[in-house]
Amino acid sequence: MKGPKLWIGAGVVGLYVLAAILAPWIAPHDPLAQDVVAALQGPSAAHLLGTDELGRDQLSRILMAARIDLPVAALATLLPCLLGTALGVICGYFGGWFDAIVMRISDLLQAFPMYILMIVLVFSLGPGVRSLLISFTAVGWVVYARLVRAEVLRIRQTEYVTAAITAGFGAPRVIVRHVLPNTLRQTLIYLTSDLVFAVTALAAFSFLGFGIQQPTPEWGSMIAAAQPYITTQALLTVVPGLVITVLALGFALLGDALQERKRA
Amino acid sequence: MSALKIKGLSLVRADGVTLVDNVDLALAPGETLGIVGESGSGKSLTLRAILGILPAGITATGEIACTARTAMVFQEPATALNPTMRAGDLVARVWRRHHPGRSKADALTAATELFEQVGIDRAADRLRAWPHELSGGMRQRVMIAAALAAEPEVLLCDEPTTALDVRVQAQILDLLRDLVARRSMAMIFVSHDLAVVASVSERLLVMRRGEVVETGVLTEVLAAPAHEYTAELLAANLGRRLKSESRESRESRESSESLGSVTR
Repeated sequence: MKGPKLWIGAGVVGLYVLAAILAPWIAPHDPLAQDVVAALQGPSAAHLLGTDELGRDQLSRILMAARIDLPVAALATLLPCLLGTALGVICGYFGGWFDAIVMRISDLLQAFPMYILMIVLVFSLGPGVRSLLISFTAVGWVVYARLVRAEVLRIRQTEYVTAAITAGFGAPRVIVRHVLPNTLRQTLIYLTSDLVFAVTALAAFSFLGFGIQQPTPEWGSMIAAAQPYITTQALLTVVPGLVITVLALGFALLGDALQERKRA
Repeated sequence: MSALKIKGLSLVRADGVTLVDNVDLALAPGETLGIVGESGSGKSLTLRAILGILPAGITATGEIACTARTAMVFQEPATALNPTMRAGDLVARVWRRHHPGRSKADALTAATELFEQVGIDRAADRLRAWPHELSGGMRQRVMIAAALAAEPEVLLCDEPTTALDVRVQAQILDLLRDLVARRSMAMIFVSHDLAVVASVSERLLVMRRGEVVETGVLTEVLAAPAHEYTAELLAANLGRRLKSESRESRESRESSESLGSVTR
């Protein structure tokens, strides 16, 4: 039942979280300290992964970037999840005109390609973490709302909800105690796979210059900055790219394992 | 004075089909009434109308006067318990709902007592059990404990033994009979199975296609059915049940002696 997927996925993600927490202590250099004389050096004993175009230590920047990428990616999935769950529960449990309006809005949002919509939003709000989170939330809640709404519609019909109502509990109690806990498993599975998207999309936005700005270390923007030197110092682009890929893979394995466990 | 009185209850589906037609029913305090009828005869719906938990799209007309506190035991103990709530928590919550101002510790003590009353041994341990850790019979006992936590004057049972195997069924019937006698509760017991209904009821109401075809004191109705449908039910039951019933009840009486149940 608990295959290697779960452990590998959890191990990879755990390692990243650990690196993010310990980064200030294990990073060998200040990630912002420039040393133009030592710019664009290959790996050496002093700089294990070399230095970038401004002579900053690449390893330190990658480690410190985890402190930005991980929490922002987590928020970029949690916020849409919270909004979508709240709306989905209200829609599924009470139905009526509110349900109709919310579902039509979600139809409308789903008719657009997700990335384009997010780019438009970030573009009009200006670059930065705040507008990234707003655009992730504004677009991402739709799937959570639909998922939770469908679950609530199912759970509402179950006898334990009827039993809770006949026992005299009010709607808020029934929702919080009896309906919501039973939707969590589905939501959690989707949330894990949504993290894969958040990690890659966050890096993509930063790569395009809409996300986290230099000099703050961030994997996507590091790739963008190192682009001109790809023929001479390929490691500067390859390593951050690998770091993103492995993290996304970790989340994907975790999501897969949870999905399989649910079926088992 | 009656604990519950229904006059001219009709239930009509949105498409105009009449599901329950002009049902009259009266229940005196402490009285046990059995409602028997085939699937779709409207017996469960009548019960649900009393509690005001009709499925969407059904309109009710007529009068339901109910001054007594009611609680319901559902058919399917597998779905009538919230899988994300511990058995004891459920009972304790219902108890607290009906005893406002009492502490959580009081509620747990009450839940333990209720578990013991419904014949759950190792009650203190079982409080912490999740529904999936309990057998069908145990789950139904938990359901009954939760219903008793509301201290009902009228207990409504919607085929509470249908999903259980015959031996457990007999134990639950013994338990209900015992509880009704000890707490001088009134009870309405709905089932498609005449033998089951007959074993717990003083009065009998026979329903078919939404109408009451016959009502009266159980022994009289069984001795001299006035309606041919009742006679059919009786004949069908006699052939099939009486032989196995005598054997099963002997076995179940032996195995349920520890419950301290009253015998027939």
